[in-house]
Amino acid sequence: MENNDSNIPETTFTNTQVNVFDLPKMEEVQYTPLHSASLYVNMIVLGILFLLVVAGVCVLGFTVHEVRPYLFLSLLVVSIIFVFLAWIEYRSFRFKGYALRTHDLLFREGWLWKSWTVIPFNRIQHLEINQGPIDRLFDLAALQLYTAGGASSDIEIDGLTPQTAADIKSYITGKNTSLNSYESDPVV
Amino acid sequence: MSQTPLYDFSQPQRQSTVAILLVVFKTLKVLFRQIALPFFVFVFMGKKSNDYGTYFIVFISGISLISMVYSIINHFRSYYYVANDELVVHSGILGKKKLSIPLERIQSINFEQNLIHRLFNVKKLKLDTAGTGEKEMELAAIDADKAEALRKLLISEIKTSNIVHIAEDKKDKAIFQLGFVDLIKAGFVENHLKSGGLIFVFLWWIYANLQEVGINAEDYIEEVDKPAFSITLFALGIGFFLVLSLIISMIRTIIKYFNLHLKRSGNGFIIHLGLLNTQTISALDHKIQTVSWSDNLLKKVLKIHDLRLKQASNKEVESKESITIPGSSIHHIREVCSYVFPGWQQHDFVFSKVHKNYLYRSYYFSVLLTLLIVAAALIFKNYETIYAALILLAFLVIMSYLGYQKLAYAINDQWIYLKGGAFGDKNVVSAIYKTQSLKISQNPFQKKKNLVNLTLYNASGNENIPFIAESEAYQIANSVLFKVETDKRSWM
Repeated sequence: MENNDSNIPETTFTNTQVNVFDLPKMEEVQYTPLHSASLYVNMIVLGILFLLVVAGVCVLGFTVHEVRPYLFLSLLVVSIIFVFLAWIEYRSFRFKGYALRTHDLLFREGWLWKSWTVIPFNRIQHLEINQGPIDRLFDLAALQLYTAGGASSDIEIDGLTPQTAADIKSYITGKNTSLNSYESDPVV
Repeated sequence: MSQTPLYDFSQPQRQSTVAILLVVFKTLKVLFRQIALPFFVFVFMGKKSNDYGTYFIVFISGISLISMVYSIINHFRSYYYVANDELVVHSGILGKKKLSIPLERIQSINFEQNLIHRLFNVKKLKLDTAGTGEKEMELAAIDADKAEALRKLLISEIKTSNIVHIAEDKKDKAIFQLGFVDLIKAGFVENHLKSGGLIFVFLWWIYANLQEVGINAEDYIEEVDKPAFSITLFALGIGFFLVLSLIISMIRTIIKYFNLHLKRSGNGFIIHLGLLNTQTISALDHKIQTVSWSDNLLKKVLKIHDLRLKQASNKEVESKESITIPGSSIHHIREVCSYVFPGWQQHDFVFSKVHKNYLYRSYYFSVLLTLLIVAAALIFKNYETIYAALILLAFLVIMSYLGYQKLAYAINDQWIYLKGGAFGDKNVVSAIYKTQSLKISQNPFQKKKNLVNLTLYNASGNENIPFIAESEAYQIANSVLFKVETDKRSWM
């Protein structure tokens, strides 16, 4: 439906033999890391969460007598968990990245469980630039790509500068002309 | 047949007047559902009808009547027509509404008939559209001939003229139809567990409703003498339950799939089915994303399969867009495949198996689950559970083994073919160029062996190939991407 090239007559369609080893290789792509501010944002969010949990544990420890002897131990456990979470956050940030090719966009994420997703431009249904309140504070934006393949195959690239997000968006829109008519959100 | 009626859909037209009757009927139905039970309680259960109850009935009736009158006036103010390759529907009493759907965005055109529709020979038209935010559209009642003509117009490739002749059905080719014997067979081999579940839901519903009107079912249960538990009684109970499940499966199958016809029409299929409410569903080739067929142990004996045509859908895969045709033989399935996948040959496919670690992982999980249950049984000193856990383990191991044996994939120039299943067999075929996106994923255990999972997403779901060599996955991914990015055909 969105593909404006759908009505090309059968005769112009060619199907030449291609050697699979000559094809562009997705495994050799260089990924662009996300903006480092996105790591700071995630760390700050984690830090606030940590303080809230510590405050909660302290309140509980000073008001309930039975909990008091375990106060130090629970604070230690909470700290270890949060250091671990911060480390995961850091490692996944290091791995997370995107890459643009002539005909598709690649996105990788994860830490121990890793994934690489590829969306061809001619299958993108809709593009969106999102900016939450915290993103706005640090001048970040997220680019969301929708296909007809369902939510689990959609990509959200967070931690971009608004300029980069807009640039990628206009690059993709330039490649897939049918997206122009569905342009709804203003470029940030 | 000499007279071919002409319908000019470029002129605004109203729905059939039967639509009014349908509105009245629907209102009565709602009223009956809302009021019948409280009314029954008030009158027959000897409870005094209090003011609250009366107000409730008056309130519900008032709302229903107002909405009925509104719908009837709305009927006389609604028009539909086809203009500029768009289907336009005008409606509204106070604020006028105009809904227009570009023909190219219509995903499926389906008809439904309940008893009233059939009595007056009209059809309800349902349209599904593709795109974000848009919903489906309905025209409650259109004369049967006119509806058929409209369908032809909406799916025709030539959209220059809005004037349609009907009665060119000769082109349609019947692929197969489900006779009554076939229907009985199909009902017999259905999944009876589902019917069994329905019985439970039904019993629970009755129980809950009885409590609502003030009868406590447990009081009556107490009155019945509890018979001594015996194996015979247990077996009898199981037997009764099985027979009941079987009968319900049969009835469900017969009502749903009565007089099922699968026809080839133009560049798509038309499926007609139903006993009380009949449905005509159309599925166009280019909108079909996957064709799959499966069986179970019983179906294997009778050599019949459930054939499923999955069409593109906006939402996550849902039954509405997936058309199931029970009782299909392998010949019928081959015929359907030859239409949807032109040039399809079964022997074109070379199947590969996934890595053995996939099987081992299933074994690990089975053992882990069993150990957890056994541990829980030991802690709570409930030793009988251990036997159950061991039976479960045996079952899981057999399932895993069969599942691994059957899991295979083949990707050739144009198609992706996945085989799977445990006790039954499952086959899924889709066209490579309809792939929307793909994902390669890897967990730390797979990393050591250089294994990955490859998932190909299409507009009706996804196909997952687990535990294959990294190099193999990348090779498939690269060639799939090449095909998707160079193929000019529309994926729907």
